[in-house]
Amino acid sequence: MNSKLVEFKENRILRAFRRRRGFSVTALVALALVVVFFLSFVIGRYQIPPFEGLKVLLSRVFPLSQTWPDIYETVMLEIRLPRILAAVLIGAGLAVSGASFQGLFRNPLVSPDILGVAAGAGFGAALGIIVWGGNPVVIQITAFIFSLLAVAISYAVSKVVRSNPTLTLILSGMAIAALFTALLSFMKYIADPFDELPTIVFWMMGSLSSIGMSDIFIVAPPILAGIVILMLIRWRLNVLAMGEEEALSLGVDTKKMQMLIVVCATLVTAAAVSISGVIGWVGLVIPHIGRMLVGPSHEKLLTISVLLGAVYLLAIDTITRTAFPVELPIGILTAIIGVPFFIYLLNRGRRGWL
Amino acid sequence: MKLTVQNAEYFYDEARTAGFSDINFTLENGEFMCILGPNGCGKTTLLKSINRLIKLSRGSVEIDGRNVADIPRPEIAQAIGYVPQLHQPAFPFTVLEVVLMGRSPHLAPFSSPKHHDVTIADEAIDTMGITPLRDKPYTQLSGGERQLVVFARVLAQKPSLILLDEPTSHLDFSNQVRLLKTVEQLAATGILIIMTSHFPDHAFMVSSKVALMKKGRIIDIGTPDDTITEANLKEVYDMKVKIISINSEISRKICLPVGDRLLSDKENLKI
Repeated sequence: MNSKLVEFKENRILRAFRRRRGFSVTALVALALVVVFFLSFVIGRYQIPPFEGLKVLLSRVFPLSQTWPDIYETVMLEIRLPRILAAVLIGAGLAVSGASFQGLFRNPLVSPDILGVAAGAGFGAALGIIVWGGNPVVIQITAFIFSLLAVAISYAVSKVVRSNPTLTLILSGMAIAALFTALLSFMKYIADPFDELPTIVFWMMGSLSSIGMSDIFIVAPPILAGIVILMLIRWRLNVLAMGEEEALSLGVDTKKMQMLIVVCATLVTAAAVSISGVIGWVGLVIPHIGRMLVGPSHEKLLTISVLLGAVYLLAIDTITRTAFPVELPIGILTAIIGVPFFIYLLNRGRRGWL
Repeated sequence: MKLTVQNAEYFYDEARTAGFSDINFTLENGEFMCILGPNGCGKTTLLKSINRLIKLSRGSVEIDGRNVADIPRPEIAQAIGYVPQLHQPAFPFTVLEVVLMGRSPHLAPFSSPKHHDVTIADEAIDTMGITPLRDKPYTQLSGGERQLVVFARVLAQKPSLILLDEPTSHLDFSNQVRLLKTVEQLAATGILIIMTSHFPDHAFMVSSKVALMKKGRIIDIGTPDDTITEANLKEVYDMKVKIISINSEISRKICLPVGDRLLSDKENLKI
């Protein structure tokens, strides 16, 4: 009897379930972000009672009379807040840039560094340390400028070659990244081994420990602008991921789109790297975890990448400053903690897109 | 819609290796043109020049009197749909997600498909009879199923001209006929169709016009009966082809490749 109807109903239920599942996973990650966000304020070398901590935060919005010592405010709002904001911005930015680049280049092995951002920033930072004496503001500026420069050169080189535009961009990016890595090695070679060299090495490992509120005010606008634009074009990324020709035939101006994505992702990554140093792994792997959770469509993928990237980097940063007697560079822990977790997910989440 | 191709010419490189040249034809509402010709004769290249996937070196393609070279990309895609030859995409989007991409030219650059677009995509999926595949990953489908999905996508695109690049190449017998029937129905609703094919039989079955191509030129164009002749096919494919009229049941002509005329019977035996 009506087996077709039953099947149809089952399909509908299944569909509704899947849709809701994608939604609920996203909601869950958003909730996790809120929780980790709060915990990061109260956990640390100086423990703050959670309830008191909550009151301090709420007092920023609601008029509460102060029942807590001043030091709580100092620790939470002056010391931890900039770091927390930086982790959220950088994590979200790197993850969403990685997801966009993977879509643009139709290659799940691509990271936001593919066009030479990190190598350029590394060289710029080394230049700042050696030539201009290592003033943190100077390092940020030189890192930012050279990371943009590296990508600009990659992009310009790829335009000279008149064949497969996407492939050429990857290849020229790899070449320019190799060039800047070599230049960075040269800078290390001539650096003072007792003073400058360790500074360069530590910078390359990434850290959020010295970020202040003034840094946030400078990097937040480019990072947020980049994330917002990438989020706006996230559905088009699906079309673009089908290949240049098909995207063209579906009315997408692929050249403009490619440029827009490269500019946004580069701005985000360069701004992030310039205040935090090189933080690997997030931009490459968060999008994969996102795909395991919500599937490959960039419409959901970019949303979940923003949330996952933020919660991941924030959690790792909180661990780096609490779990060890000496604070570890965050670039080390993103991978050491991330790899086992990733392998666990790989094993568990086989759903046909790996 | 009226499509006019005038003196169209395309060179691959500075050495002027011609993809095709001297192409002239006009098509109007409801016409169904089949382009036949051997591998490498320029069929696909010609098809791609119509919706400006490649730019003509000389000549023009006009839709309703407007040169496609001057029409913005989304507008071209609203008017012209394109079904490419098969390939493997990098990401396993679901069938619905792939079909939804057909709505792309109708959406503003910063927007995503709405409920209305999903409805149109679902209708297209239904028309192609692939509703059970709706939520499956596109990459896990067979070549034939994928072909039907891409066809559903072009339906969701709602163009007035559809370019089909060997649409039946991965389909089994029954799906070939099913697809051709669908295309024929579309043509009947007034949509212009241009299809490249390796099967003269398909041209007899569904097309109203046939263009025979060889080495980048159209050597004959006209109704299937006038164009697909033994002499023409011999010239195009360098091979003897027999055309037989079957009057009982199907009343249609069919083509039989007979073999290389240059070989004598003795040599044939040796092989």
